[in-house]
Amino acid sequence: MEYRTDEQIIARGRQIAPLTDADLPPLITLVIGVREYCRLMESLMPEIGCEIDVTKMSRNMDGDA
Amino acid sequence: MVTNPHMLSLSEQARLISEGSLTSVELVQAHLDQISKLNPQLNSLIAVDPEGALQQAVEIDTARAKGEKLGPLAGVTLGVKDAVPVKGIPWTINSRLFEDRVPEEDAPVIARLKKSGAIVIGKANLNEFFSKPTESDLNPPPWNPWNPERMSVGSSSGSGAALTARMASGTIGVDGGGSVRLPAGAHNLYGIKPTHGLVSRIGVGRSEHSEICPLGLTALDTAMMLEAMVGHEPSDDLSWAGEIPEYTANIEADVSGWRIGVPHGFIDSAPNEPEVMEGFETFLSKLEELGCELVDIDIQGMAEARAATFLILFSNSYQKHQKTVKQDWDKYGPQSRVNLLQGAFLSSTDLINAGDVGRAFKAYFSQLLQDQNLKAIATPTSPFATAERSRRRGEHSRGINACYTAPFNISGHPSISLPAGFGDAGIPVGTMLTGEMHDDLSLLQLSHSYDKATVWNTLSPSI
Repeated sequence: MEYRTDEQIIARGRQIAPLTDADLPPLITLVIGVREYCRLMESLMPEIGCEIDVTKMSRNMDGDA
Repeated sequence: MVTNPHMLSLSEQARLISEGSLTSVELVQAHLDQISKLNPQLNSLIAVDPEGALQQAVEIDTARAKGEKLGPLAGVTLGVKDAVPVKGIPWTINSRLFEDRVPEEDAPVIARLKKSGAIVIGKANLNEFFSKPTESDLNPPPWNPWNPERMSVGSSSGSGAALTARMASGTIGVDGGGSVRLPAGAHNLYGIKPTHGLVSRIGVGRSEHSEICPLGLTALDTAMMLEAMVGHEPSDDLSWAGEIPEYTANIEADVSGWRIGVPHGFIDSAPNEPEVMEGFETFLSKLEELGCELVDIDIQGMAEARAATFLILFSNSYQKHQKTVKQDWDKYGPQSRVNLLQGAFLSSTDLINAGDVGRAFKAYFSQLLQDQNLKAIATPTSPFATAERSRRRGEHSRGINACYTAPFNISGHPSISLPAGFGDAGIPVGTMLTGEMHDDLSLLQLSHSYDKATVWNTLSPSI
């Protein structure tokens, strides 16, 4: 996920849809959530040649070890 | 003469019709009367086909009178989530974008249900494009018949509400992250998400991990509908071509000694409302009364699998709408159009990561069941007892309402929501069983045993 700032999110959003000003706050909130999900995925990616280590997966609802 | 046939379960209605004690016309008319009486208040159905339904009922009654062999669902009625195409009935996905669309063909799963004798009486309300409900959707959101001042949980909200209000014998929904199991739980119903690939998804856009699912008043009703829905579709490359057991013929089972895993550690980490946990504990007690052995288990990866499910859903959604959001932005509701954009912020690496995590969780969960010799694991269906709470901005954007359901969409394991009592607002709470791939039968057997041992299916709302 390469969109790390509000400005980047807004710029990308305006590329793909005719966003109104009212659309921007909910979009930013949602994309921040998506970014957290992507980070969670990245944290599990193994070294080349290795498999995902399920013992490193979380044990609770928030994704903590 | 059967009085109030619409109040009976689908299996009872089918039996009476096959015996000749009830005609399909009488049943369809009873459901139409119920729709006329309650739908203006509840918004459960957004299209009704009275002429078509009555015509099909006449044909079934005529066939029976001639002694022709009837299908197992002959003469009963279905409400179908308006995400699934049914020939000749508007197919809007509750969006102005498709306000005038009427399909010329049935989805394969609908064709199978009709071949079993079921009659589609109408299309059930839903959140526009499976998003959050708003008053600006093409049709306003449905209300929960158990408390008509409360919204129905979605996205198969109308399917839950219409069945609860006895507007149909059974209903069909689509579950991409919990969208059948959550409304089943919140309406005192059974709703099963079958093993991935058992039911062809052609017609609903082939989203990778969304399944077309039945909701029933009883576990047996749910099994009867699922049995009619499963089967290999050669035109669907994701469709399961292997053997499928008969669900209804085998639904009676002695479940004593069955080991059920309970992931207390994970469950305790969720923000469960007190009435949810009260219902869940009562459910566990009932399983013990049935002779099941409860096993405390440790489970990992539920949060990661939930995240992976949503990342792929977001990507699928944006991919489908990428052209129309540019051209027809104003035709979308303000909630769904913003939700649909989330997938546009993902990279190909993000998606491949999510797919890898999903596959790893799938293998891990099957191994967990095997290692511990478990028939299923038990969890609540949702941490929340009302739709309003689950839709609070922070909760919804983090997907907490789906913390129990969504992991098993990407994994593909079968998962069923069962009734478990009522919360303070009068809204039902659900509980969930999830089992091994292609062992949907065990979930149905266990649910049927529980159903027979509880009073939930005898209750109906006082509307």
